[in-house]
Amino acid sequence: MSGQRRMKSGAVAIVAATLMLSGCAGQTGTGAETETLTIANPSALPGFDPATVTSGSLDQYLQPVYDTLIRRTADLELVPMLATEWNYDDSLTTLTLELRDEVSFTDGVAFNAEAVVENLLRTRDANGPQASSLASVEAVTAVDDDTVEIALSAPDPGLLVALSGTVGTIVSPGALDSDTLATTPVGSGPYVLDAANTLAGDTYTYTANPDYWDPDLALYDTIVIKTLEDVTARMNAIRSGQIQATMVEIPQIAEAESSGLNVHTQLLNFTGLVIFDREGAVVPALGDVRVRQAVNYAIDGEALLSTLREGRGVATSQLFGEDSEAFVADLDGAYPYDPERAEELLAAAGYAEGFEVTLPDFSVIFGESLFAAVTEQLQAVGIRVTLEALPIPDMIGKTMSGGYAIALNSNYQGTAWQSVAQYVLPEAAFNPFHSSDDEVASLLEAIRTSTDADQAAAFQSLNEHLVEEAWIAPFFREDGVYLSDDSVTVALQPQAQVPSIYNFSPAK
Amino acid sequence: MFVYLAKRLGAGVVLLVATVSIVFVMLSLSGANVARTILGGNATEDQVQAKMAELGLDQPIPVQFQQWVLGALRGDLGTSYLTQQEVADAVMQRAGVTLSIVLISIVVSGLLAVVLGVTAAVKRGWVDRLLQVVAVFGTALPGFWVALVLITVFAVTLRWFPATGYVRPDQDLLGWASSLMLPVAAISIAGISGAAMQLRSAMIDLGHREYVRTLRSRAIPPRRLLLIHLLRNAAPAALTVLSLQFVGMLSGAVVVEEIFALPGIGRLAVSSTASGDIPMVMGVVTLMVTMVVIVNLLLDLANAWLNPKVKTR
Repeated sequence: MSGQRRMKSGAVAIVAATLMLSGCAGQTGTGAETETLTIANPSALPGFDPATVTSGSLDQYLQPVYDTLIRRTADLELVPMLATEWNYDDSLTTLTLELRDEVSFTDGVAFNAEAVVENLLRTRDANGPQASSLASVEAVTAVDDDTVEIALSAPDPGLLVALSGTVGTIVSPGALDSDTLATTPVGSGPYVLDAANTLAGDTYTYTANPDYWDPDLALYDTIVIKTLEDVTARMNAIRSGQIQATMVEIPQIAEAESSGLNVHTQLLNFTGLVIFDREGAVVPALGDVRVRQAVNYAIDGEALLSTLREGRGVATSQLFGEDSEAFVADLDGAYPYDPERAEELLAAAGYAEGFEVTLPDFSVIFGESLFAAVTEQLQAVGIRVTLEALPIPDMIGKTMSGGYAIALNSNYQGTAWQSVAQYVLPEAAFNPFHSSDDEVASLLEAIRTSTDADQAAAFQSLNEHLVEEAWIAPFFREDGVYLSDDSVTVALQPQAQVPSIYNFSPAK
Repeated sequence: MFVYLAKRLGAGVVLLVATVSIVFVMLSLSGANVARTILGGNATEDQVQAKMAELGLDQPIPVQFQQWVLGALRGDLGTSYLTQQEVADAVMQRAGVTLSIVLISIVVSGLLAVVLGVTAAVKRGWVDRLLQVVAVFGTALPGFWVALVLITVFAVTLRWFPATGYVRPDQDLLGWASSLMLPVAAISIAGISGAAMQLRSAMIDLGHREYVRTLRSRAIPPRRLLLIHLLRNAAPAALTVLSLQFVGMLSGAVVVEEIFALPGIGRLAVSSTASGDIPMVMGVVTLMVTMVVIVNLLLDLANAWLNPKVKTR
């Protein structure tokens, strides 16, 4: 064989191999006909031990394998799951849960009250991200096989919603203390983990649990969740047909629309300056409510929204989201952009020459342009900003321990109580100076000791008080973006970045 | 030969010890608050302090390092702060992905560099000039840009290869090859260009040497002259470039693994460094340095075989 012939046959072999490989790649694409759901999640799961998992996007990994006590629907309704009924006593300090009968974990162990007791106490006592959600729990008692009582040291308005998330996830008692819980989940969920086709931190494959008690929640034969932390990778994956649905960000909307993908949006995150030092301990100026109001007037939320977020959102002056009980529509316009008014307020407070403040530089997370714009707008009214850049976890630590008087933050808007627990309670993580006043204390007490309409009214009064006292200078609420292709129907989960696994179904 | 090998091995051990010590101290001094990362934004400062104590991070740095070293000497690289996974397991699980990319890239780069370098040196003229221009572009183009272009063309538009992800060879051999095609292409282009140009220069240079002219005058067949005499003598230069590129490709794998979302040690290194997961970063660093030492050792051996003078240096 001559050299030329050998080269030719080599080239043919390469082309043939390429075609075989490309053909193979085409076949590995997703398809509704096999009832497989393949989605990408933007966050990495630390493991299947619920006590180590932060509630939020990560719930999606746990939902296939574990049931929760209560389920929260896409309409924000709390409906039965492992608990069929729940009731508080009159003092709102004892919650009684009636449990579902005839449910078994996938290791064959029967689900009962003792399993709930073990799970809740373990989550409370493990120093994990969920411990704070159960801080008010004094005791969990199995009254009988199907009844559990949770005794609280004080009413906890967040408990029922918490029990519909990671906190209420129930692991088989036999697996709770096993060394392999992080990699081998044992629950009673609609699916079981297919370990052979799972690589921790990359791909999780779940196959239907044939004995599941509610077939309406198990609509697929297989679910594959890929961990894709990079938004470009998620976009490429959905555009190339590797996945059927995923979360992206506002800048990807145009590309998604032009690729024929279905774009779902809902108002999700709020972005603003959290003024921690309301007593003026570090920056005396911020102890004056007029100065904090001046900060609110100085920021042009509309302009930030239109230039940095393609106008996809609503400028606002309140912390709470539209889905929450605390929302008051009028408060969105409480502090319109008015730099002259800001200067007047600063002058009235004795700061006509302005003052200096140091901000943690989170521009790596929230964007350089946002930091540049906010710094410029504050400086325009005389508030001189110094940005301090440290490694991100250090900066978070310093912020949480009261190292900064003020910080820019962008965070999802959950239930009214979740926002209160994050920003308002004296022990809240985003209240490092433990601010409170008589009005806040009495409204918090009213929220804790009431329900339904009375509680909503107290939440709204608290919202009005916080806006008036300018605890926070919110800029805008912005759209969260979720994409899906035509093979899947998905309902967004309000107050969450990614939908629950139950919100997906094959397209008809 | 034995002394030569022992010296190279000794240098490798010194490099490993120095690197892990420096990395440990830097990680510890950076003070990345891993307890905060584990507990999330809602945790109180007391919870964070309790978690630090639980992880042993309240101990002085020398004590922490001593514990890590003693563990490592017993073959225990510890447990990830974040995922509770054994570091050795996590690192070995992912090393296969990175090694697949880097080793295939090295082989592909080596083979194509020989073909292109020899062609340029032998043909000269416009072929040589064209290959040089292409090589300049190949070296200058940033790997991440090449990766994005490859994804857009071959994954998103043509759908020939997957845009993200990795398939284990034991699951599906063709799927494995398919998942590596674009990452290997993205990472190899600079390597091929660099090594091909080294080989080309070395061969042209050798072509003018006395002994080559003598060989030519003895009517040695051109192919034998090319393969046995010229290529063998020109290879060390290209091998040196390839060994440097192995280190470069390991770093390049970090970027490529992020873009293609491949579960390799590069992506693990990035995520564990960002979260301050010291045991995991140390595991990754130990493995990467060991791989660099081994590859350099193998290339030294290859050089010694190709050119016996090396052994006496």
